Amino acid sequence: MHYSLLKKLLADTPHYVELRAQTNGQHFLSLSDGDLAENQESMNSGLSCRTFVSGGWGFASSGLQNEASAKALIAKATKNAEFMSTANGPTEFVLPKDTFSFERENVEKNKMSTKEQVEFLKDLHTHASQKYSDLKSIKFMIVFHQLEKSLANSFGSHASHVLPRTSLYMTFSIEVEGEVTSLSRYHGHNGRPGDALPKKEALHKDMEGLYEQVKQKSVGVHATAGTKEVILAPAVAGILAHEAIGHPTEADLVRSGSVAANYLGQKVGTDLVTMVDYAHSFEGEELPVPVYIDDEGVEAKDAVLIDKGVFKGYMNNRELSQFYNQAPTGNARAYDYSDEPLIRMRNTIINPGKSKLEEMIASIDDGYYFTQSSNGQADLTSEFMFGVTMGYEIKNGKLGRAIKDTTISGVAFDMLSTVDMVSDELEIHCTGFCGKKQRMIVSHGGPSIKCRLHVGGR
Amino acid sequence: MNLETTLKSSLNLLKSKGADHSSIFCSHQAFDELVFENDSFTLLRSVDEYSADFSVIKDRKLGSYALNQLDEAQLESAGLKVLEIASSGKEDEAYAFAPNREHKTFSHGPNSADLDAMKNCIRDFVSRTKEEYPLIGLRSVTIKFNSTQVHFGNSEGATSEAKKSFYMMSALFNAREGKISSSMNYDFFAFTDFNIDFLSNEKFGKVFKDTSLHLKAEKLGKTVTGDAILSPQCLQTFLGFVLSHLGTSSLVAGTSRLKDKIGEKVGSELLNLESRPQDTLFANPNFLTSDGLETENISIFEKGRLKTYLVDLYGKNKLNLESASNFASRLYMPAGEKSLDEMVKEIDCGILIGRFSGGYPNANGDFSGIAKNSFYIEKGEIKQPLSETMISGNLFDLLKEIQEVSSDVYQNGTTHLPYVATKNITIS
Repeated sequence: MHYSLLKKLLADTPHYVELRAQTNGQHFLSLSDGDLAENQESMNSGLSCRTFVSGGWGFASSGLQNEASAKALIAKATKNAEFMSTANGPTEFVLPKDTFSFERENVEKNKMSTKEQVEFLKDLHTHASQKYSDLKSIKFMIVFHQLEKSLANSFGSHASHVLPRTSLYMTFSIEVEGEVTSLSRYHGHNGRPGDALPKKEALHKDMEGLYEQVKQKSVGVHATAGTKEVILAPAVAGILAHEAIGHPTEADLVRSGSVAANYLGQKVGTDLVTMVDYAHSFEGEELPVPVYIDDEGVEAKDAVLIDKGVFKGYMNNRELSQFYNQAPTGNARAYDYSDEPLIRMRNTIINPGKSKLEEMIASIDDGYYFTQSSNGQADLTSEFMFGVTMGYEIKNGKLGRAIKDTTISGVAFDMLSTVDMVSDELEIHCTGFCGKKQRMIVSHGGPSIKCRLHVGGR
Repeated sequence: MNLETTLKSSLNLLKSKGADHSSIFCSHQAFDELVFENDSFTLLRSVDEYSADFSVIKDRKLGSYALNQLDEAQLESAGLKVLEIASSGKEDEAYAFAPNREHKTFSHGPNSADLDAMKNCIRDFVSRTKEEYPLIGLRSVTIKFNSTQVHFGNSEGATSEAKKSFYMMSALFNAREGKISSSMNYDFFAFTDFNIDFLSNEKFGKVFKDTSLHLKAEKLGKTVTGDAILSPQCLQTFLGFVLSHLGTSSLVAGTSRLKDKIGEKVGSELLNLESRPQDTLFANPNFLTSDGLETENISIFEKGRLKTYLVDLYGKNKLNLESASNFASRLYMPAGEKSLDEMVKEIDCGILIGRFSGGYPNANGDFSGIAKNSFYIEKGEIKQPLSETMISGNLFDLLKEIQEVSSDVYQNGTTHLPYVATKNITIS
């Protein structure tokens, strides 16, 4: 449904109402040892309505996208909001009335059919299997997601936009003395497969690196447990930014008791640490998750979380920007049409510094260089944990043996005070999903950072 | 919308488009979700949706497509799409759908959401928690009424109809005193009847007491290798890792550590585990597998021996097995003899792990991660609540080293699990 029709339906609503029509598409292709193992596609669309009545929020959604359905949803969401208002007792809270409008089409320049995508994966497999004959298993995946939204609210905001993302996953496994070691690499970009998949030549080069690393890891050593001096490569620093600092600084989680509330305006890191949740662009370049307007019709703005070590503010939505008396950042986003908008990150980045990676490695006598992580979690105390799937010992200023899978952990607001070098590079990663009740497409990134944290191991 | 009519017309459509075999789930899902956060109700969300999952086999190639717009034009388009997807697939004789069988109808749970009961249950839970556990801060409490109706049918003549509803209560909480906070913790329970004491020890009572103690959590400050008692919540996580080695994907890929181990002893005598998807013990049963087979209660481990793989029809054919596993979770581990307190007394040096927060173990079963909501045990006593503590070990070694299974059992409407004592965990 076009936003103009949604706007028309909002004309006579006495309370705050937002309507969102949305279609999500996804396509999952996986090639395992040359065979197409999975080929699944789905399309999910519908309409949702959220209302605010006397301090109570109501939400209703349906798969039907038409005028009658929209009217029924407004009535149902209003009834739900009234139930909430009665449950709580009415309040005098008034939502801020910021408005913004944004329209953008996402044009597919190079259409790529399913068959062409399968051929693309098969070509990659042929290259890998011919060149790296000692691999036990070779897997490739193309995963495509697209969120297409139209929205309007009774304050006067409206929007229409598309967020497509294509990810490519490569996993090599090798067997050494009965032990299977696996390692993956990922590429994720804004756009549909024909526009967003990397060139084969670049992937061939990347496969060379992946092959070398999985071989090194297969004869790697276990990390030694304890607190260590380490370098986190951009892929790991980005997860740190997202999980350990990003989540605790989301205003809804602050309201729920995040430790970040204790640190507002205080020094939480060294002067080298600046971290921002960028709305859509970094230094003039559009980022992988460009968000210009959020799902509450608020203009999306950069949320500066940490500036030169000082904790500056939260990411917020319409209601909590008012509650905390901070400027709206436009972070409210919903994944499916049937999801309510929650405060979600967009492109969460630790800004680059001035050091060279080589200098950073040379400065460590006994530590680790972690280059890749598998997953991460953080608590509202900012205690975090990441799985590390690739890394190296650093001994006497030089890279040493590869290590097997391990885990790193720490307390982010303590760890940031140990950051004493930040590299001049910047890498941004956009694969997988952030999970916070709903899933969401996000990106994160940063430079390499040198710090102290707890390493698991034996 | 009539799901049965949509199912029949869609099966005819796929046949007319040239599918050799087809399988369809037509569903209606609805839920009402009431959310309480911090100090007030914050959202009542109502969702209503129809959907269909089409799968076809054409020239021994498989295609799948899911959609939630079930009008004639969309179904027609989905029919073309799913065959197009199949045409890109690989040929494999192993693809199959459920064989013909007698039509079966399943039904479970209340007919509609009782919003007032949901509201009153949350109010009562919040006010009693404040009174009985003053250090506990409830960050969110949610009750969701889930209702699904599924009509399944395939080209082989198999049909089923399943109607299911239940409530799910979940809570996210921590302990707080002044500026000191414990780690976050959470739990959830599926139920169909509001006559439940959610603050009993078996529900939130014990976990609230343990979380309150975590205000004084400290780092261990040393590295030791010792025994471990896995809480039911932690055990559930580890069992999930183990069971992934019994699924079609890892068995066919050859990466499973449990391949060719049927009948072999892979755990201690105390390792007993069943799947009971239709047991009335569980408020959230499962009736059908993704292939459309009726689920069955099965024994997975008995006295440490592996009894079955957990494969679908494709896995059964690919691995030349006699039958698919008709598996659909709802894990049941029988209670043991000793209480948790008695188990603690028998440990000289070890850890009681509340939850495991860590990555997926590697192919060999090696894992490492954070022990959340956990306690250090020394000389038979709970010594201290732990913060920032990492654990590492091997999944399959843990199964072999099971020493005790508790008489205390956790039953949350989806699993029935005790505490399990095992050995050789590195704690740092």
